[in-house]
Amino acid sequence: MTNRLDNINHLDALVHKLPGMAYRGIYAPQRPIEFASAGCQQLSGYPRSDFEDQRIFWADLIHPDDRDDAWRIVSAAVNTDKEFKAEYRIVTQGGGERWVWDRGRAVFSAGSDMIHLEGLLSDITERKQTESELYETRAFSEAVVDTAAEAVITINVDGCIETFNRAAQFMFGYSLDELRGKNIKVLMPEPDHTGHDEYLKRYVQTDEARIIGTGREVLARRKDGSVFPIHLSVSEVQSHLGRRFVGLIRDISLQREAETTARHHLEELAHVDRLNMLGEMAAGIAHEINQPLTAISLFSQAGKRLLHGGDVDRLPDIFDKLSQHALRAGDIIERMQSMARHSESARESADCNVLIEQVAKLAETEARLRDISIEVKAGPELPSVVVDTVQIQQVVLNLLRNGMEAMQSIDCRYGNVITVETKLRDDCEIEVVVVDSGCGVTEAVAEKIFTPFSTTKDTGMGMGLSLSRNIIIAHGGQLAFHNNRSGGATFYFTLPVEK
Amino acid sequence: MDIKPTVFIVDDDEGIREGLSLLLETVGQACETYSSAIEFLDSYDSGKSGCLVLDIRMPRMTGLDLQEKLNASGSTLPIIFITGHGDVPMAVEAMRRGALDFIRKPFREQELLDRVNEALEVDAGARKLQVDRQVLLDQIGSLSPREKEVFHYVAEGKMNKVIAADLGISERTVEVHRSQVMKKLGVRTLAQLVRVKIKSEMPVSGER
Repeated sequence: MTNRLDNINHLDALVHKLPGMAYRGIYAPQRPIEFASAGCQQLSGYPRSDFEDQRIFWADLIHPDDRDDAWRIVSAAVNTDKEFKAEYRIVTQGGGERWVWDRGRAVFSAGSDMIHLEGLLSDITERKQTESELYETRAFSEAVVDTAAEAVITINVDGCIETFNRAAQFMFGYSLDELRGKNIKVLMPEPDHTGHDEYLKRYVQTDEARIIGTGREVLARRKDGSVFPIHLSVSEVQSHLGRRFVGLIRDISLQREAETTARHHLEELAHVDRLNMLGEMAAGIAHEINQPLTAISLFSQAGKRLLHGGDVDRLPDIFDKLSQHALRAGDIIERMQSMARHSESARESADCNVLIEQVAKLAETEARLRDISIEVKAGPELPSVVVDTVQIQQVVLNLLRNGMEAMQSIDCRYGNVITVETKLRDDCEIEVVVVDSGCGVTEAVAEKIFTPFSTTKDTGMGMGLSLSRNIIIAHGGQLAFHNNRSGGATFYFTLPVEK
Repeated sequence: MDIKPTVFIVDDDEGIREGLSLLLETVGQACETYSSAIEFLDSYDSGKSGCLVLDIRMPRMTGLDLQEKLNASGSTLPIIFITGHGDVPMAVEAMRRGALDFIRKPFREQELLDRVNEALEVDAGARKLQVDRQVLLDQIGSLSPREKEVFHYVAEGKMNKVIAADLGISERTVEVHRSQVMKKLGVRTLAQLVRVKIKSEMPVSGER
């Protein structure tokens, strides 16, 4: 007996030490309490005797807005003989508001109609606060994402779209409802449209990142089927919901358009400059074409005379000469024509040495008139570059002509050889160097040498160097110069090698 | 002296050099080709007759430079310049310095052949004059010192009496010398004798 009493006392102590308030009350909307544990005071501010003596009912403490809901939960559970769990606010003795978690169940006594409720009330105010803060943060980030100028799309590991912000809806022309749960590939043109599932699978399996964390420019497809350039960066999010991917997308079609316009301007300007340059070179070119034409005329007349004289053995040789000189004239015209060409900027893989060999031949027409020789020092085994051939040749031609002019301006006092050299630098770029032995660049000229329309020459537009530099920059390279110690100047530019 | 004239072709363009020489060969004209002015100067012998077909524009030494060098050395070789488009000012300069003619590329071959023939005639004429003068100079050289003196005085139009007084010899002696001079120079009249003196004193450049 004593032992049992001891046990009861022991349990009693345990109950009273529980955090929160253990209770036993009557199943009625007022929630009268017959027993409350010691935690009652801390939770509600009222001593447990106030409840046990029925001076106040538990329902009195429940926030009026929550009272009906709380009773509904409790009664529903009791009716189905289940445990109830309710979260609601109470107003404490001090007037403060607290969130409590009320768990319990009905206890039926044999031989009595009265139903009791036994349960535990815990203070969950802090948790509720954290929760509401979380809600707020989440609402805030949702608002940010929704008003962001960039499209934000999240997908799961299967590529199905989970979220699709307002900017994305505007950018792609789809509403969220149309896309939720759809595979992200509907937003991609070929070949990504077909390939994406595979990309994703590979990444999920191997963790081998191709785009994640780096960001790159790709093409996207709108609902109407139109394709546009975007900048896409993807990051991965790991949460209890699993792996997800968040894509951040910027529409760069306007930027691209501006770039295209700028490129067109550069092309136009370059073309005008080339025509101008050819105009200036006309005398040399005409002279150069006259040479084979004269030879052709001489050979054909000589051939005619040989034929009349019956000496036909030498005719095959003469025909060979005729064709050889006709081709020579054709070559000169072709080189000139390619410079006059007005091409849509077409970048293609090219060998710098071949390109320079061709342009040196064109420049030789002028070199001859100036009594200057052009020396080409071609670097061995250069990797190819991806360039607009005509534009790069234009730059080289421009540098050669400037150099020759500078040499002639001082009557070739320091020599009459201009060299153009190609070499590989750091395995990643090709350098083209034009060394003249002319008058050099004075400090005053150096300051604005790359400014358009600044010219030291009597003829020309003063566009050459500024245009050349723009062309090189548009190719991802640099153009610069320095004076030589031995007289003259060196102009050089770089081009990235093809990757 | 070389009797058969040669056309010297100096041009840095191989095609034109070959074409020119082949054309000239077909008309039976001997020619030599040179790819530069320097190469030509190195092997040129002023005794060879003929003419020069010269490209006005060449690297290192231009046609004009070569003309100047030849002029300075007293050469009388006629020069036909070959000029290109836009070389007219240079061609004018070449003519001013005594070039025979210039033709512009591309040219009709008959035009070239005519010019070459003309140039060869000019050269032959000049060389004939030179030969004639040499004969005269040889004849004058065969006169005795006293005869030379009398020759000069007579050619200047001095009377025998005056010559005799100037030389301190008799008028009769002057007459003997004078007839000896006429005989040695192969002339019969005073006018012919005067012409011999003028011809012998003509400067080289006056032969063109």
